Amino acid sequence: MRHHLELFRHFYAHRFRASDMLYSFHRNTYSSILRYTHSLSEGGGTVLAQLKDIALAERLFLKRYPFKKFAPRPDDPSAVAVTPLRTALKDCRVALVTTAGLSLPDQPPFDVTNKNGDPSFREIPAAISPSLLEMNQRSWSFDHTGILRDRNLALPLDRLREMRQRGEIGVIAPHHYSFMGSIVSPSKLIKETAPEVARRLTADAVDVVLLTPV
Amino acid sequence: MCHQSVGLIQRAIESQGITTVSVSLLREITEKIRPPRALFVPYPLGYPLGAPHDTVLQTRIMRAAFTLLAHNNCPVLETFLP
Repeated sequence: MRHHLELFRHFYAHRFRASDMLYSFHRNTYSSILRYTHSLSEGGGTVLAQLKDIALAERLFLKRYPFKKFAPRPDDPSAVAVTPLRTALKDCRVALVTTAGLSLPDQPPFDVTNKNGDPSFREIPAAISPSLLEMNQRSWSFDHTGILRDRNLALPLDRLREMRQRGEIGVIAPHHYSFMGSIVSPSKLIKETAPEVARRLTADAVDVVLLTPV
Repeated sequence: MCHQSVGLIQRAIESQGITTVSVSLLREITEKIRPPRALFVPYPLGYPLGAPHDTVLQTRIMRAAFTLLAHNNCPVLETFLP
């Protein structure tokens, strides 16, 4: 509790020194991971992720984080753009995007030391086996063990192949994309890396993208 | 933070003319971020498609997410019922 109070004081002293806060979360959030892992191993049925399940320090951070700043504004056409589905899913070219921080062994891993978050991405070819993917994550606010057991939990390439074989989707896109999600200062993501991934998906004539957070 | 990143990437892709849908593990955050289409799933952080090696559940979640693609009255945030 004393640690929490210190964090709280630290938080208000620095207003939005968000990146510093995230650094100090690691120790606290580890306990919430243990709770998740424990409840799963107990087979305790459905476990909902809610803000109240996250360690106090991180909850305070999320409560105060200026999400509004990055929420869509009515005067920004790109923020409220909606693209209707052009054709039936069974004829669509489908790509996956995840923020699980997955990368291939021959790609540089995500930078887990950047306190503002690493906004870069890794291009994942469709033909690889998901089990080859490595995970690098700054965030300890979630349980890593599920994805380490089965990468399809975040990047379901094998499921997509099965859906393709059953004719539920048209084509699997040649490239899929992975980011590392803990991006506290997302300006480079907004201005550079997310639009670049959008351009590459367009170049691959992708119709549909499924995105998964962690 | 992951949910904000997903929402920002999703909007960048949707605005380039690609239809998108995302999975959400934190309804409260997704409601603030307002991505075009999202499926809230009742699983812990780190488990967007339910459970490792559960191909049936993973496929059901993906199908439910793909069902939302037909919605154009966005933002759409629906809940996956296990």
